[in-house]
Amino acid sequence: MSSHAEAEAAAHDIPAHDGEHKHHVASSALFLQVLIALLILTGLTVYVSRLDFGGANMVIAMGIAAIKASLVITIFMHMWWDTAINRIFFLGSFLFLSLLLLFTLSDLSTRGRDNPAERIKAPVQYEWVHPSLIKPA
Amino acid sequence: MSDHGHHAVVVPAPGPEFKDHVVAHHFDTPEQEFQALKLGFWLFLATEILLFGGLFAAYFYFHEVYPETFRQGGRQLDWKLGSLNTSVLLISSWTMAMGVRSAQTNQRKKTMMFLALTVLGAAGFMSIKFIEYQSKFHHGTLPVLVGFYELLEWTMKDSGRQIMLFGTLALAVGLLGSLFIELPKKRLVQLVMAVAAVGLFTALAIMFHGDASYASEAGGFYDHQTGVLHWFTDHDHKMADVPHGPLFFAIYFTMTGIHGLHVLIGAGLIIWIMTGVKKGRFHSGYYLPVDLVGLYWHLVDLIWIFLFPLLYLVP
Repeated sequence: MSSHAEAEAAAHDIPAHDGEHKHHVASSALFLQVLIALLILTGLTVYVSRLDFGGANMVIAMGIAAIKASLVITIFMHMWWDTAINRIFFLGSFLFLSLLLLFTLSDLSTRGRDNPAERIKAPVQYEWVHPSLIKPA
Repeated sequence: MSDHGHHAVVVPAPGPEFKDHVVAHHFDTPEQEFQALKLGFWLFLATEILLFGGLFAAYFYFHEVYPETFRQGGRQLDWKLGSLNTSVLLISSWTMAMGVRSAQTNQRKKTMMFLALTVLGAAGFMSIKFIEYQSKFHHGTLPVLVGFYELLEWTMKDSGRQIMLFGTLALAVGLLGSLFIELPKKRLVQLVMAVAAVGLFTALAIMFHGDASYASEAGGFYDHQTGVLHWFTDHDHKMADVPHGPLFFAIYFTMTGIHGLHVLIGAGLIIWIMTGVKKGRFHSGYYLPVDLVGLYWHLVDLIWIFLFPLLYLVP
């Protein structure tokens, strides 16, 4: 049996020889499906950016990006099959990042609520138009 | 084998075209080596998330305060080139994943091919990035390199700046000199000097940034009357309608610049891995370096997934 065939056998969850460690090998088909999903979601990102959902545009754009990021992390980066400690280490960084974003944005969004003089947000002057719809001056 | 009675643990090569892997002496088993190094790498990737996280926090903060600046700024970028670059990077992430898979399954030629394609993707990404930067330069929305004399003039304007600049230089010279002389508590003195130098330099850099604003048609310069150092140009007045126009491009160039640096480092690492693949170092029993460089490359992709809608399609 060639070394390639052996490793392929291991990829299909056939028990490895005793004492030898084998890690998960994801199937090529799965990788291709993930790539196609990522490209479709990229198209979707561009499409929804042309629609006006008001303040929800940011939430939708970040939501799609989060789905794409999850696909990359779980499949391409093999986190789905990784050890618990590795998952805690990496996903933990997002937890701490969310603290930074949460307190920064909650401060911003509540400033000047009672006293308009404390507001720091600049007024909105123009209607939002998608960049592709603007003719170059 | 070793002096301490340990025997080197060897992972045998799965075929004649591959090489045996000798487990580092401070590990007992290949699995222990794999898991320890992989955990360390995930920790490194966590610090990368926090590095870019700070920049994303800055983005969200300023986007919230100056929404018009960001909308106007986003319009200056080409969303088609941005989409193309996103696709290039996503496909290169796929070729990287396939490269790691090929290494896991002992397909040396396929590994080589997929890694080469990934490097090609990196080159494509950077080329498109270069075209974009060039067009920004054409419109004059690029930070201008400030000349030495302008910087010196800016420094001389204020005694605080002089103290910080010359203090940093004096400490740097002192640090260099301390390498060659004997001192009591030498390490402690060096540490204090290094911290002071970094602190002074940081303060200077922060003051410098606080002064940055639009430059005239002539480019970056020091304004004698206002004492302000201008270092953003806007020849075509693309950002003239909105407050703090340079802000968007400061964020754009900082974020895409640091991201681009990661692309270049990633491409270099993949080329380094390819030399190992050529020698047959990586196979089903030992593919860890391929795996780790793959993780790094996917992280670069991960950051871009968020950068693309935020910069090119400013919500």
